[in-house]
Amino acid sequence: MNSHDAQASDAELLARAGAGDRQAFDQIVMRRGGFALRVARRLSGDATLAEDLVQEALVRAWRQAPSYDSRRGRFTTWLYRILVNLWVDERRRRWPEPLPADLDPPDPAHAAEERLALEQRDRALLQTLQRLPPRQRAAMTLIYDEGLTGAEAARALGTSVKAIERLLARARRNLRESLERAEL
Amino acid sequence: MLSLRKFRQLAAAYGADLERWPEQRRNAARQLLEVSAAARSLLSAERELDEALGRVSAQADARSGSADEAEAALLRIRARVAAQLTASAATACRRWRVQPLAGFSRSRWLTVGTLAGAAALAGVLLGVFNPWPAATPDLLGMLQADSISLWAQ
Repeated sequence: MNSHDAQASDAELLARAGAGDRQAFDQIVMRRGGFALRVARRLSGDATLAEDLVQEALVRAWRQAPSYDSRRGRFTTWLYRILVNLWVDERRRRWPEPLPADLDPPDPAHAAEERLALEQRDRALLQTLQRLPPRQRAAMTLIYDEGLTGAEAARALGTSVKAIERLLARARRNLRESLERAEL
Repeated sequence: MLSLRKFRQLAAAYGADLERWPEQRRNAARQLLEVSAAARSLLSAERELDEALGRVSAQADARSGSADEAEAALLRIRARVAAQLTASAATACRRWRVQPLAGFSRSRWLTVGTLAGAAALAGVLLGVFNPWPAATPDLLGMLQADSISLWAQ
């Protein structure tokens, strides 16, 4: 990695990658691969799947680099979009069924201690989070974990801000219902 | 000022942390919170879910491994991406060498055919309008060696 590459913007590096510069693309991989891996892990909850998703997302970014237009948005937003789309497809392939209405709550007999009850509620919440419909899960990850604004998340998912807010509201409703069931 | 209905919609989506709310709505939301107990109650309800989500997220991050493990994963991904791009480039190159004409499009074949036909036509026209010189007796005489008559007397 030379100093010129280190100072180049994502857009500059990607433009060079689009012209076939593998070194420039390698710089992008090292610069943004960590963040992509974090997002993929949060989306999928599976370290191995996360690595596969990031690998495929970066390969697609290389192939689509000639058509990337920095005027339409940041590279990270573009990479989010590729990654989320890959994960949504994979999620639907692995778990085509919608969220079950009768999600099993923890056994209330073990909820004697407050700390244990909290752990069980958190487990129920995590389970519900992982099984949210994929676009709800993606919206939650981008807004709550990655700190994107509603507008940025909308660009990453290829939708409107209102649609993002509807996804978030539905996701939070599902999660709140799982907490209430866990407390019963 | 923000209406309570709009406040409820935004709280349902973005939760209790106003820093997640659209920037242009935050001040109006703060003003409503100062004067509306209903708005404060709404936000308090959302805060409980936010805290649970925060715990779950922190636990998930802790389970995802150390910084060293993340670095190792990134290096693995980097190597696999590089290998995949190299393999794709090699496949494309082999395909070009083995089947150079297979990738010819219809338009390219049309161009080649047209040029070949034009060359053939040019040759025919040259032959028709610029014929080789006819064989004349003088020419033949020049070309032939002196004849030896077998019947010379």
